[in-house]
Amino acid sequence: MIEESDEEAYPQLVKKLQEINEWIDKESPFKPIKEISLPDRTHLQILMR
Amino acid sequence: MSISNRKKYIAAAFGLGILFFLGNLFWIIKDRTPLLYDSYWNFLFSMKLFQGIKSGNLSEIHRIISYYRIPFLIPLITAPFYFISGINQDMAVIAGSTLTIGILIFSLFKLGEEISGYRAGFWSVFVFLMYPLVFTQQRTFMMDLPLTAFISLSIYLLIKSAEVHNASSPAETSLSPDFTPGAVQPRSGDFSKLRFSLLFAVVFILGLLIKINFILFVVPPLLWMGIKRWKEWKLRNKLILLILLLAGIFFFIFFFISTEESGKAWMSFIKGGMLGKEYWIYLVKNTFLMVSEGTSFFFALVFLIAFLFYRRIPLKHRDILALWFLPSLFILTLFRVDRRIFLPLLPVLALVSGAGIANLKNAKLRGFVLSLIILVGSIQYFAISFGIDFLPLSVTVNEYPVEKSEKMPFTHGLLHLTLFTQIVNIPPNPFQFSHPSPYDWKGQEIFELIKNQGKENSKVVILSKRKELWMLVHYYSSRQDFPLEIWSLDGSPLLYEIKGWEKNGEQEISLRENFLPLFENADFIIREISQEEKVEKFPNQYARDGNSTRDRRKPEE
Repeated sequence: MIEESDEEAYPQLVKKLQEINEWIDKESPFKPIKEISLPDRTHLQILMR
Repeated sequence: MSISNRKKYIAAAFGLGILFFLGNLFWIIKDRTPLLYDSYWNFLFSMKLFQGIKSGNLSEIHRIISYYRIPFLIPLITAPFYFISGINQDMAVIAGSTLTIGILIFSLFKLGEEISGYRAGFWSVFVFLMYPLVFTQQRTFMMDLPLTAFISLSIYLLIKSAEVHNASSPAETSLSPDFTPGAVQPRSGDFSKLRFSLLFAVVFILGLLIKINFILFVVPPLLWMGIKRWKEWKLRNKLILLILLLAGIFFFIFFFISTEESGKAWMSFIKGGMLGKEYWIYLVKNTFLMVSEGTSFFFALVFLIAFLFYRRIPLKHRDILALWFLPSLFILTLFRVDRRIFLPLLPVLALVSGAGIANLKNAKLRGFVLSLIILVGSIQYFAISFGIDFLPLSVTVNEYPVEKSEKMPFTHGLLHLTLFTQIVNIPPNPFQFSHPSPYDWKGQEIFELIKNQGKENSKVVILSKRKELWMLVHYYSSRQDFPLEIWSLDGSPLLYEIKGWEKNGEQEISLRENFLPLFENADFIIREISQEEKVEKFPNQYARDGNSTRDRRKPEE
């Protein structure tokens, strides 16, 4: 639903999601357990506590 | 009139239904594309109703119906089939489409027969089933085709219920030799007339419970019939008419106007200025879409020729057909809606085509036209459903979803000349095409991973711009009766906006709230990473992939 104009339409949401992404990478207890690519080339990373 | 001939045509229509059922079954078994977007919402609704029925929890059923506030008839009808198959998307699709085809074949045959005899009835059925939008919609779980079926049935019953005995009328006696009005000619006030009125009332209410758009297609002919026959109708018929109109207004308010999302969407579309030049542009665009992906170019041509011919022959109920078609076309154009919304208009085109074909007087010409229709219709059906390698293609874009080594030809463009178009999208899922897809969407793989590593009711949060991803996992969690708490961004399909975070399809957290705790308390996080992020974060692992990125195909607006 959020597409190219995300930052214009939902600046706070996009910022918050970026913060959560950084939190996952740097501070969270979550570790990646698998990566999966969907047929439409969406890449997913699955993390577990 | 030959009764045996009529029976042969009825048998042929029945046989056609069996063939379409088998074709759908074969296609669905081969296709691996999951239900996504609106088709999953419909399925989710039926799944939740099934869970409520299974547990005997009537208050939960009431809660679900009140919460979603969408018409529930088809999800409710398909829910009991899960007692046979377990929760299963394929079962939902095949049960829904089989019921729909049955009603459509019956209604269109009878309508065609009313208009111009049983031959017209059969050819209307044939032409309608050969429309690409019709047979592709039978392979997803959307409500537009069932809606079309109930509209056709209700128009047939409306015609029957308002019929006045007038056998000596020149308009009836001068019909084509095939015309078979039926064994009983109901008179005004006959029991049979009341029976049709009551049946119409039942189907009208059921139609409102499929999709509220029902009103647009049926109320104009109903009002017209009421105005025309008001003096002849007995009090009970007048009462039925008034009750139905009140029911229509009630359901319209209940399902559409009163819900926040629909109400806002309604207002925003009206305020959006779709009343000026833009309106006419959309009207033209919708007409093109109705040709290119609705009827196909060939069958649009058949309609056009039949329509020109149709004007010269004395056929019944033209006023009803016009009121079924025109007001809804003009009103729906106010909304920038998907082409599938216009599906309930296609029976009118098929009926005119069928009547035109059946009334060709020259036997040789009729034989030639019918052979051409069967031949081209069949080729189109197979080409669009499964692909025919030796047929040429108009444009090849090859952008989704396959690797270079396994390209499939996909066509793209405003006006498909359908003879040369072998694949179309199945709206509203931008990832579902008319050929069965072998591509695995990994829902089961992700679910099995979580199931093996976690426990029941694990909290899974999806961090992605793709709000439909939760559906992939949720299906298998429900199917295997291993509940998960799946959180995902929630958006309004009508308003194109993000509303908040939802758990298993029900909104729980608004965007205004702090949602960091959602992630802090999660057991699993599924996040989408772009190709660039993938290379940046894991340079060693993904160096061989290179930096090239490729946008996935965007959903159509």
